[in-house]
Amino acid sequence: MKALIKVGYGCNENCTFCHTQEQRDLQGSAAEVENKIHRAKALGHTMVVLSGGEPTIRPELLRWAALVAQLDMDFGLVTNGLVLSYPEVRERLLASRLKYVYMSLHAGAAEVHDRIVRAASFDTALVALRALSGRGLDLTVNCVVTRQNLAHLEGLVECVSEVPDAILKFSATEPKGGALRLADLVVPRIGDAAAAVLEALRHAAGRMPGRARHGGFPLCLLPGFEGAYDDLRSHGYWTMVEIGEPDLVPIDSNNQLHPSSACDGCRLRGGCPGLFRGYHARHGAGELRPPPRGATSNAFDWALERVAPDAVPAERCPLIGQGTAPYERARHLFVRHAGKLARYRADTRDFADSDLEQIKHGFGQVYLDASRKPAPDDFARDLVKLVRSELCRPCPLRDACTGLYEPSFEPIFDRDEHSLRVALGAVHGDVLEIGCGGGRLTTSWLAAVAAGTVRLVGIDPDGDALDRLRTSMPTATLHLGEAESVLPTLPGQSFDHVVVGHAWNHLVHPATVVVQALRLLRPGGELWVADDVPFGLARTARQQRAAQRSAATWMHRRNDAAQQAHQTIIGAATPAGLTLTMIERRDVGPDTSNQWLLRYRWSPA
Amino acid sequence: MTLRFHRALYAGTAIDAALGRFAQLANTGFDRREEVDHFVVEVTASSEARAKKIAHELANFALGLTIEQGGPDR
Amino acid sequence: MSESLLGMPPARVLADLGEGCVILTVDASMYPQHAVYAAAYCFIARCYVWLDRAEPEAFRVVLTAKQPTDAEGLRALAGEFSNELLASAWRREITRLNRGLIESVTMQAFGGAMGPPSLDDLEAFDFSDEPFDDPLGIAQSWEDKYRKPKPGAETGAETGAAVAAETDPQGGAAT
Repeated sequence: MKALIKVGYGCNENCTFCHTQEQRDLQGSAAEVENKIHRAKALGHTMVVLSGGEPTIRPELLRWAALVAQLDMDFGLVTNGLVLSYPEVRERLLASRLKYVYMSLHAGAAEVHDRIVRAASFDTALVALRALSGRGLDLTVNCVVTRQNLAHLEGLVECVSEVPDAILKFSATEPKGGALRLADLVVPRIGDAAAAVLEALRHAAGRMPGRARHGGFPLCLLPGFEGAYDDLRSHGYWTMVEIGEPDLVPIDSNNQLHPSSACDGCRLRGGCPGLFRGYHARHGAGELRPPPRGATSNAFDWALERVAPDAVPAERCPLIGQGTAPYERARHLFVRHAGKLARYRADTRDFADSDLEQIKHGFGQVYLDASRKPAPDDFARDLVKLVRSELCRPCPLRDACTGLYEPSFEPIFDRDEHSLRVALGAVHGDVLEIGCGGGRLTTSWLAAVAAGTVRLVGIDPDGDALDRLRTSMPTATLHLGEAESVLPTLPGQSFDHVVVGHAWNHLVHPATVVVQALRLLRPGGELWVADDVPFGLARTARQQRAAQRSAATWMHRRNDAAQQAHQTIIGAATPAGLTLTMIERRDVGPDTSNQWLLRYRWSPA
Repeated sequence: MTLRFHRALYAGTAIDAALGRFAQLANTGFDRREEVDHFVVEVTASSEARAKKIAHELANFALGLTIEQGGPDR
Repeated sequence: MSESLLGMPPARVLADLGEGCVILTVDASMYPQHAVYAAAYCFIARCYVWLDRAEPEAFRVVLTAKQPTDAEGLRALAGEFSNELLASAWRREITRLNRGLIESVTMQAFGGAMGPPSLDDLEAFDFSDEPFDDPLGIAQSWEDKYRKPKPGAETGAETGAAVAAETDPQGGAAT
């Protein structure tokens, strides 16, 4: 994992879009930089990347590189590359384990590049780039897409295509620093920039297949290239630190947002940067083009990184002493058990950072995978709930820290499932279950159906599951198909209860299903909706490999919790003139399983 | 790199002992001379940084020996 | 270049952040030479210690940290040295009353503070802190190279016309 250490903001260029234009006179002291390099090592980073400003203009450059190598880490640079045109500097850095160069080049022609960087440096940069090629580097050429080079991106593709081991990346301009000061002149509209980048990526697909990326552009604007995103996370960065900051901090995406109006539920959300907040404030989200919904994940892994070699005492927090700032609140997970402390990390891009935060700290859906299965299928037996330690409760850092977790051996899955089955088992009359599957909840009515107090109708698109259910409940009426297709064929006001059990997040059109289902209820009838929120699993590398080999596929179309489902239900029922009264609501929290419940009564106006 | 050891603070014997020890270093030269109040040692090495580092270590070692023997030579 | 440190009297304590060292002037009438030696000995393991006579009645002590440190670290170093100096002077005074016992305790405490320098370490040390040669001036800051005002010295807002006109690629930055 990489640490990105800023050494100061002075530079030998002066780009029109420079984010740190107001701080160019601020250079970090050598001691500050060197202390941070030591801190990166202590935290377990494997590479230190220096950035600025321009790190290569610092006279301490070679010493810092040597120090990083001396500490048994690799060395990297975010640079304009100019100093690397000196063969001696290049060779000495390579000897100090230079493994990564992220180099700026904003056009394939001097007259465009030099106008952006306000210096006559294109030729020197090109010398450096060509000289860095073939040296076994992880080499990225970064082009910031501004109004000044929007029409010249294909020229850059031509130029970089001749450097066979370089990745070319097109980055969106963030309205910040110089780019904010001159926003109208420098920052293109995101739709226009994405269109130009799309053309350039298509051109690159022919000229330099697999070697073009993009960063900072909403994925919905780059159809066909959604998987080619490139950012600090995809480059393996864990922490970064600015001059003056006392400790390394996790990289974050707080300068970006997914506007709710366009991005809620978008299947591309996890890897998508959304919009820069500064851009959204100026221009809104009208240019976004979210794709149709598709399958989405409902779980992720925290992978085991290390177990502390020394025994951890029970009576004091093992995190505070080492500094909590570098750890990501959602992506890191510390688990203490039996005197041991394990550190896990989630690198998933199936979920946005804000989603992970909600799953871990909002819903508290954190589990240790205690099974040897590719995907746990019996949660009560396979998963051990992890909860915040009692030590966290009075801690002033509680809401900023990633937290200390410990196993709770409460049988929460059995408890919550049993509670729901008891409630369902108490109903009688005509019951419709949407998404009955193989009968996870349906068997709640086994005795009642046999006794004739419940007459059951089930709907599910899975024929094999229905066959299994038919075996155990031969008197039930089972319909094969999607709910939206089957519901209109059933007679109106013919049911006392409609149950959407663990199927809500699988429905293609939940609002439609709500209206269709409510029309089937008799006056005073009840609508039950139960489903799960996503969860995270602490796993070993072996468990992760087994999961990756499995053929498990994503079945969910959304990850609604009770609140989102409630909004959809009321939002669908009210315009249709259907008045619902909420009878019961069970939300998910740190002391529950991941199952929620909503229960309404329909009373005709 | 020039080190000027004050006679009232450093023992000449300690400086000599330190120089003897450091003489093993490759690509490094030492030139010792005496002035009225000082022992002067010139350190030369393949680079200024290397000379500085070695001078620091040499001075430290000479001071340590001086203190261990109870002060300057009498 | 020497500068004062927060909370330290500049007549007594100065720092050179570039060299990573702190320079103390010690009044010889208050602190005997043996006290200076004793304090210096305690710091040999983590600093390069240099002693000199600043003037007839004062010692000059230069402590250069072996590990990189900042102003705060140097301030702490100066403070610790001053404390140790005081303690050493006090020990010497007490020694007159109970010399044998105190010397024994003191030497035990000092024992092992300094071993011989590891020549292997010195041979292995990478002397790459020499700045690289920059014959073409590539590593010059943009402001120096194009003779621009330093940040903060700029007057007036940057204009669009300036952006459009700025930088003649052949002739360097204009305006």
